[in-house]
Amino acid sequence: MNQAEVSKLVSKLRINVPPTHRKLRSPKGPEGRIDKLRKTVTGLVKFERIELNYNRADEARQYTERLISEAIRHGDCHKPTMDTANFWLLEKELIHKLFKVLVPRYETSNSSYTRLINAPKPQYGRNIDKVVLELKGNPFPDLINNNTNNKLLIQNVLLDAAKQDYRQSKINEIAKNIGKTENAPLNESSKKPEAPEKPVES
Amino acid sequence: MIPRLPHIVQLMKNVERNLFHMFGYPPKELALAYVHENKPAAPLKKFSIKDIVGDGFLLAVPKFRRTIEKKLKRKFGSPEYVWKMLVPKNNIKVCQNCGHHHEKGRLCEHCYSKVKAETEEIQAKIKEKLGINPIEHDVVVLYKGESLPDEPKEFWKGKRIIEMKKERPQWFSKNLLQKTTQQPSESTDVKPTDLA
Amino acid sequence: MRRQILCLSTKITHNSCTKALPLTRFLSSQEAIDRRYHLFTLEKKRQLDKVGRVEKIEVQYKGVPNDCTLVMNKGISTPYDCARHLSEWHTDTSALALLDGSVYWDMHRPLTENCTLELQHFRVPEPQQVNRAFWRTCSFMLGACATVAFKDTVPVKLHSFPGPDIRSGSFIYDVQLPTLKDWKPSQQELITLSAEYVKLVRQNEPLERLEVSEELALEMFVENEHKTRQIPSIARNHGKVTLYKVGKHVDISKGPMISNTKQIGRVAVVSVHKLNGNSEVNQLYRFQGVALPTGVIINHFAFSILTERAKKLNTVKSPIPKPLEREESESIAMKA
Repeated sequence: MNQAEVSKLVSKLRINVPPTHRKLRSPKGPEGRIDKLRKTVTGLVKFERIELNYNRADEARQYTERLISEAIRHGDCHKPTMDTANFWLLEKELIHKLFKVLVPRYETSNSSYTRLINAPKPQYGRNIDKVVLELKGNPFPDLINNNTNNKLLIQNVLLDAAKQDYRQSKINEIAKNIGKTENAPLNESSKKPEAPEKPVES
Repeated sequence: MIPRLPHIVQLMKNVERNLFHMFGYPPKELALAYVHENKPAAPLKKFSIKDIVGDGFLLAVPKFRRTIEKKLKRKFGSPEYVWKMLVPKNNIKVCQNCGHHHEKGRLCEHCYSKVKAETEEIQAKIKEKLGINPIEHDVVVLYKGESLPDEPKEFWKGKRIIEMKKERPQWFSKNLLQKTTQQPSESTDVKPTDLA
Repeated sequence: MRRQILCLSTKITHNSCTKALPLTRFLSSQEAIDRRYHLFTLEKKRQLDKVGRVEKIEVQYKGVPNDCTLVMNKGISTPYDCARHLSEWHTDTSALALLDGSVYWDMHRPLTENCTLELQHFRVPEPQQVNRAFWRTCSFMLGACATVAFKDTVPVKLHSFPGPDIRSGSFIYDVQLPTLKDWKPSQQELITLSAEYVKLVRQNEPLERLEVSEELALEMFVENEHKTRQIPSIARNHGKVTLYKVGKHVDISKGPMISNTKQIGRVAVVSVHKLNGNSEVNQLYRFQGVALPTGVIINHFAFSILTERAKKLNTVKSPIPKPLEREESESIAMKA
């Protein structure tokens, strides 16, 4: 097939992208929808954490992810990317932020750049899904505190001990190999001990 | 009155009944002849509402009975659309940090209100310090009494430091300066694929 | 000659009657368990009745959702009762109580004086003591599991379990199986043991604590010669022996333990090793397992690493002296 590989044309996002776009109600029609989203994207890049309705947040999230990934991909010397940034960011000083702050922050990242978390629902009042949308790596306090990284938790103690045990056994093995191949050329003993894959529980 | 009269009458009646019983009843021919006379019916008077109301007036009332189904639906609603009964919520969890209740899959309201207030304060501070200059550097938030963490000078080159004029809240953990993003693993171990 | 033999034989029978306690021979394991349970409940009732007039104490609760003062009954109310005043979450997740910021107290042990109270669950910032209590409870439950898992034809004599060492990777219980020589459990048997363990855990029984005198403890464990040998050394310091009960199973332990067996989540009995050593205790087996608290969600691959590691023989002090190096066995009983 004479078809270009899609991932070379458009960067693959690390979030779930629905097949169709959402219609955000606006008196101006589709144009009004884009206006709304531009405002939201600008706000997100500016404040790094905003609270808004779910529909709008989920829609704006996709555009933000796309914008950041394009910026990372092409850099600031690429005309179309610059135009895109100019279109989506209403406050022009944020274009500097995108290329000088966000791109270095997310260059090495291997997960999505934004986080979408459900905000508490008011007990009384309108039944609207509110969410908190934030850029990862912001300087604000964490929204979710699950202290599973505590090294003293029983599961972490057990895993740590298992890791140490594994290392010790590898070292012993190597020591044995050295003893065996003292005269023979050293080929296998140069292998370094490797820790077992330590899955971190979530 | 004669004291024994009713007794005698009763006696006579008994004798008569016994006689009839023994010899049979007298023949029908001896019965009295009587002709029933049919009176002509009075002409029917037409019913008119005025007979009841008179000088008063009538209010609108239901014309037809409301069925039991409709009555119940009005009272309790429909479970598919609007269910008016009180339903227990089964998706309530307890926050591990503050002990307040919150809906499953959502943030705890108590914790979030604290985080939100702090976030807004920091955002206001950042905005105040920045003004309208182009944003070219990342932000580091330092609270009162905190010195710069031990990092090489290159790390601090080009960071905007926002100083808050209060102590760090207890729930706000310090290790925010750690990188949130993980470096790709360099180990060449192949993960087992055929696990249970 | 004949008279001499007769005299000797009567002497022997007489001696065996008085010394070796014939009672032990007539107690089947189930009867022994029932008897111990019965004695435990009687003693507990007696101790509760001894409290007499109810006095009030003030317990300062510290923690979520807010600090408060609770007025409780002296010698009757337990930290668990305090938790019940707070919420269901507190009763379910609290594993240990911390009194006055220093003393770790069982959830089902009556409070004796005014104190401050903190409830500790498995995710507190410094969970070392809670973890130790959890590991100890797991060992204790492993003993209960071993007593019920075997058929009546296989007598089971619990020996002891050493103090909790989480970094060793497995919790253990040393059990004597006198009729089984060189038993190596198959995979199926281990799974059955694990299933038996899970069955016990799912009964959601609270762990009750009781301190009894040495005599009563000896009376309760009359048919188990290992325990009767350990009891005097345990009671040497205070003259009291601490017992724990879960369901009908009663055992000696220093404590503290967690609140309820439902706090034990994922669990597996992974291996049984025979302990070798030269002593009069033969056929001593070391049961090993690994467990995690309820609510700890761990990758199945990570758990398989833990079980693989727990399969190795845990080299924590063996209760019987090794052929070469002789060690004190009593100190282990003290620790348990």
